[in-house]
Amino acid sequence: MREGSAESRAAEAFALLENAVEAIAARLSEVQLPLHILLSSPFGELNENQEELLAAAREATDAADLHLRQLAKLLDLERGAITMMPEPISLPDLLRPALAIAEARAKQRRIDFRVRLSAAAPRVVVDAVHAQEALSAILTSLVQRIPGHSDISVDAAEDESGGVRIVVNHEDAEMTRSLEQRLATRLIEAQHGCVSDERRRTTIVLPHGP
Amino acid sequence: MSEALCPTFGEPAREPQCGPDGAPDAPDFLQLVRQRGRGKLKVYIGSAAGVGKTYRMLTEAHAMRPRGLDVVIGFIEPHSRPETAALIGDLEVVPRSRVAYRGITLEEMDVDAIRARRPEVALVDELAHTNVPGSKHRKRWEDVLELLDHGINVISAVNVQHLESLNDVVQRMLGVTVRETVPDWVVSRAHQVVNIDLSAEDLRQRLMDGKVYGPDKVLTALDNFFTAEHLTTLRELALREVASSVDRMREDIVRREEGHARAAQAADRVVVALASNPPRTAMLLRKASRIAGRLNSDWYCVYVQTPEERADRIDTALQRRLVENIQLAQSMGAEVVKLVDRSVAAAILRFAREKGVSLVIVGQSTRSWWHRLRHGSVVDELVNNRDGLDVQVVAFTHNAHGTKQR
Repeated sequence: MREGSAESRAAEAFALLENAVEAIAARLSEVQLPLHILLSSPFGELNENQEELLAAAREATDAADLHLRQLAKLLDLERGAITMMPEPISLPDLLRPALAIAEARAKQRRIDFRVRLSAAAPRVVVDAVHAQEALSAILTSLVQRIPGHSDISVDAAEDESGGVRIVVNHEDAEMTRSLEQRLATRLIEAQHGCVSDERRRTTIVLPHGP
Repeated sequence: MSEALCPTFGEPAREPQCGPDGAPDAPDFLQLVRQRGRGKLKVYIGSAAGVGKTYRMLTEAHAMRPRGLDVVIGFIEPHSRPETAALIGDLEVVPRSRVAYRGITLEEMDVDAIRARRPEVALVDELAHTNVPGSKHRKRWEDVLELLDHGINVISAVNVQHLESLNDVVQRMLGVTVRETVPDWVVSRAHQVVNIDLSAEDLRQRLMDGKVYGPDKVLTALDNFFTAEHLTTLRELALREVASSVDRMREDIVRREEGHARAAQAADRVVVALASNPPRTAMLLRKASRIAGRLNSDWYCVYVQTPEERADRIDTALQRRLVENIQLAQSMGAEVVKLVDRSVAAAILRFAREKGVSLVIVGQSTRSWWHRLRHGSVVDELVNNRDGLDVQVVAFTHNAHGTKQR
């Protein structure tokens, strides 16, 4: 017979997950560290094959490390350990860095990337650092996931609630969310916004300013 | 070495300052630092290693101390450059953290130690650096964000090729893969972005003089990354990056000063209105080109085709002259736009609003007084606009001086 409430079991699972992330991260850095040292060639120049193999190993460990860090941040968000520092910011200023990187990636994959920002869109009040991180993650991962040579459009305008609605139309019908996207969604939700996914459409709503 | 300075994203409390020409200047970083809340970030951008970013950061730190600011070095890497190392002088250096692994010791910036020390300003070099595995954060820019979150102001530096959105451009144009990148949104959070500009020739000379790398690396560097072509491309990218930051700053200041409706005019863009048969078009275009050059802004040459001026209604000689004028405008750097409308003035004003234009340049009317009275005048309609646009009418007298009408 299982003991305790669903809530306490969830808390226990949460704590176990946190411990596991910490333990795996510690082990992982023990692999990363020698790779890092070897690639900085303190014992003499590496030959091309050695360098290629070590670099591939480092790339794989870096990717695993990134996943763990995203998971750790998601857990921090869940337990309220990340403080948001909201400030008013204009929509173009908020979106510009995310659009720059997504556009560059789209160009690489020959994706037609179109943006329409309403001149009348109000300022939003968000923690700009976390909101820009989230928007970059959402747009960039969409661009990387949809088929090459397809289209993506970003339309941003005032929402009926007075906030801003950013609608991204794309050709991704899968609706599977990566860890990075889940983290981005939580970062938006943590500041009273929301992200919703439909087939071929992602909508982000951000709260309005004063 | 020259320096172009611009704040980027504004904060509500920031007061704009104006230069002698009325253009917004950069607020002093000192003023920004003294504001409360999240720390302020200043980023020096350069085209390559050795242009003098670290040197400039250290000079600024020394200049801040007599003004009562508590400045420390969070992390500076002098790269064995004697001038840079000497400039550290008596600046306080927060000890680095050490990671030991089987007899090998690696050093990294100690974010926790800087936070515990709580300086007003920390210098943190090499924003794109990847930290030693096992560090608190993977990347140094994440360390910087943590310091900012805790109210510590940061002055940092990065080479332009490390900006994430330029990664592909650099790969394509230079054939160089840059592994360490900084997301654009991090740099866009900077309150000031300063370009440390050095010509390709001067930088190559610094390299040859041994001021950038040790003698064993100089020849390889000159032949590979530090070619004149590469450095010129990177210099252009750095200048472009900072120029776009200037635009953002100006938009922000104007938006705060005059409300959203005027925001689009912040870029000081210029439009020259081209008639189908203009006298002295070259003079008009030269004038526009000079003004746009002075404002360092984009300029457009707009030709409005009215129903009377449809291609099938004007003779071939006139069409040829029009094409020649358009080519001339293009050769001077204008973006040529053709609009179709019944009203020339209405089309130009609409275009000006859409493109954030602040100045319209138009040639003096050559129509008779009687014609203008009966049919109205494009010049009068433009001058009497209610959009707050400046209109400059260029007089076609033999010595033709322009007159600013409003």
